[in-house]
Amino acid sequence: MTEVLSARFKSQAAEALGNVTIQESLDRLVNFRQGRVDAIAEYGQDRWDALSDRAREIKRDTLEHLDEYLDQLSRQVERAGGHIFFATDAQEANDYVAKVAAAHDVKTVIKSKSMVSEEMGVAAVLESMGIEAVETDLGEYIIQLAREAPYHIIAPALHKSKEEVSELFQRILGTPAESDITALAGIARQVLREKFLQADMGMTGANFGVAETGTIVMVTNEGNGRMCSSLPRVQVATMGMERVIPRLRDVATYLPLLTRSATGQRISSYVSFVTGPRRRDEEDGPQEFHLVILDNGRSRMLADPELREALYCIRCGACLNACPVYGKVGGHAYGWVYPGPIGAVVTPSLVGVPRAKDLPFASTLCGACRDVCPLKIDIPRMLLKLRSDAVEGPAETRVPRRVESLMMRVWRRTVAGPRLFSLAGKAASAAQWPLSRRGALRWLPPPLSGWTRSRDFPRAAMRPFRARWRNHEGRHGR
Amino acid sequence: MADREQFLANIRDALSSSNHSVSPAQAGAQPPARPDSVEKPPPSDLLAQLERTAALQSWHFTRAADENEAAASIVEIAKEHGAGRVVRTAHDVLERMALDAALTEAGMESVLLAETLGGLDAQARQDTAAAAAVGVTGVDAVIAETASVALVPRRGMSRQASLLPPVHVAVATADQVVASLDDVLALRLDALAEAEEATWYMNLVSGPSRTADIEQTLVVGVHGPGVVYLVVIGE
Ligand code: SF4
Repeated sequence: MTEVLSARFKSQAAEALGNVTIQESLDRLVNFRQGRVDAIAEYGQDRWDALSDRAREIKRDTLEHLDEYLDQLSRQVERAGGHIFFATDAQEANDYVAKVAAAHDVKTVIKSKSMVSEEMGVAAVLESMGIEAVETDLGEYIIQLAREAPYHIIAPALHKSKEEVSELFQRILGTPAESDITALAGIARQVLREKFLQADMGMTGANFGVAETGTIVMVTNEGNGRMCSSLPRVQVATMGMERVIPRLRDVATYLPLLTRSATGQRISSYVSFVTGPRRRDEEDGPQEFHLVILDNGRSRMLADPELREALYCIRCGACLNACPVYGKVGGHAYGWVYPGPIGAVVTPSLVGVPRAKDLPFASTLCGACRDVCPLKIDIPRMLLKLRSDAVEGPAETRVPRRVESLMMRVWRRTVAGPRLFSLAGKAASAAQWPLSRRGALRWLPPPLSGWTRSRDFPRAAMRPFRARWRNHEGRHGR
Repeated sequence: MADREQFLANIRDALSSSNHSVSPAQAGAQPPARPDSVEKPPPSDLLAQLERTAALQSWHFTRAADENEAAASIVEIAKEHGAGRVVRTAHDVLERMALDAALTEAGMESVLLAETLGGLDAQARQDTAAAAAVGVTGVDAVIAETASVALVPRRGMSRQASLLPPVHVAVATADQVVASLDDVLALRLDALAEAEEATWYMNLVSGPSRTADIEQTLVVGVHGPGVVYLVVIGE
């Protein structure tokens, strides 16, 4: 399993606060926030709310019958000619992947982005066997070269400037210095294209696993997920056990919630539906397909009525983008695979509170995360619960002082001026500030009063990211 | 090592130890009912909507009155991208328009990416697709709401034609346009119910390959095609 460094939250956060490049890159989260707001407006708020309610309802039902749906999923994958492996923990999952790779005499593995494989730390395991395991999502590739953890669920290399990427490529790939971002992406395209064409095994994640048909659904933009599931002889997909959804048509409920919340896209460039290996009469595709379903602490969350809701998460990243704390301390402060508000819940839940006991305090409990969450997951409530688990007593009397003062620092910086304030999240609907309606927040320490005052701060100018993202007709030759 | 039974039993334990609102009366897993599906808009509206969303999704969108006109468009596209060689799938619509002849006449080569049809072997097919400037495919459906084309690979329809070349031309007929993702999924379920083998792969393609992983700056064509055309034939 990937090493847990969450106990170093304070020093890691302080580092980010003092790093100008990182602060600038975190400022760019405004693009994601604005994209989301626009995408929901286009979809229609009422329709959106109905979709969101339905998605919650399906998740509730799915988790209540999780054993049945997983049973169905696994049998359907087998019926489609795929192999299933249920892994209790990361070690078991890694051992299985290693076994499959060894059995096929695999030399090169191409990986598409998967948070669960990050959780497992499977790339390192394969490399220790002498197998080249290449991350192929551009952001993941960059952080793999830099030997770092993903900074953001959706944008793993969010914190890297183009100069840093250029230096990294120069140092490791030996390519000339390059200041143009399109050219930098072009370098990665070239290097990775070769890997795609020679790889023996593809590893992918699964945004959803459909019980009804045994289909895994992968939501991607670059095309690397399609490569990983089309070109190599063997495909191994990994998924957290909570990613199962009952029926194929439920994808139509979750997909808009995911892409519109994550990047503001009405749909991602590619959505791949993979059901077992290639069919007999198909031209190409993997001859063997494996699905690894991972528990790794999730059943503990399932058993805890106060934490179960965190398993509704579809990993859209909206809560990271909205969070004033994430917006200042960045992703690495959280010290493991899942950063931001949902990370502050998931990490202590999966690895145990003692190894991550600062994380539940890494929040101002402003409620912005819950307000933007497409599944309406009540993250602040769970953070309070984990706080009391962390101190074994009433949270308000035992808040670790150093984390609290760090939060106040974050706070002061956040409300210090319009530019910084833009970080604090227009993503949350300012008009419905949770303070007024959530009794649980009343006991909060003084900085919260600053938050309420900040409502009248002018809105920072936002670059028309959504327009850039969607309307770039004629710019593709750049 | 956890086998299925053990793994699932562990989940059952977790569920029963929780005092969550599980009603013991719930015998089988019954997902909530779907909301009533919205009324189907007329086809002309769908095409108009598709034209709008296609532009937003960065497709180059072209309408063609008939197959001949579509073939002419494709030849123009291939010329524009300096294609010496075009790879294509065996979709009926491409056969009907005699695309090979049209491309050959214009001095280009057209290669069918198909082993099962007595063409190239696996390695040669991959090399050919990777070296081609343009890939042309038919589609299985088009979603108007998101300008997504559904591609279901099968005999004669390689996954690679729409993936490896830097330019992808997707050719659809007007009657393939549906309103929403849900329609496509319903169609797939019907096909699945009839199919002998329960396995299938499907890609929804909704514009060019994109990334914004460096400084959130959009770059197209990072791994998949960076330039995509959608040609719709008929009214
Ligand atoms: S908790 Fe909600 S907002 Fe955060 S990543 Fe998960 S689904 Fe998205």
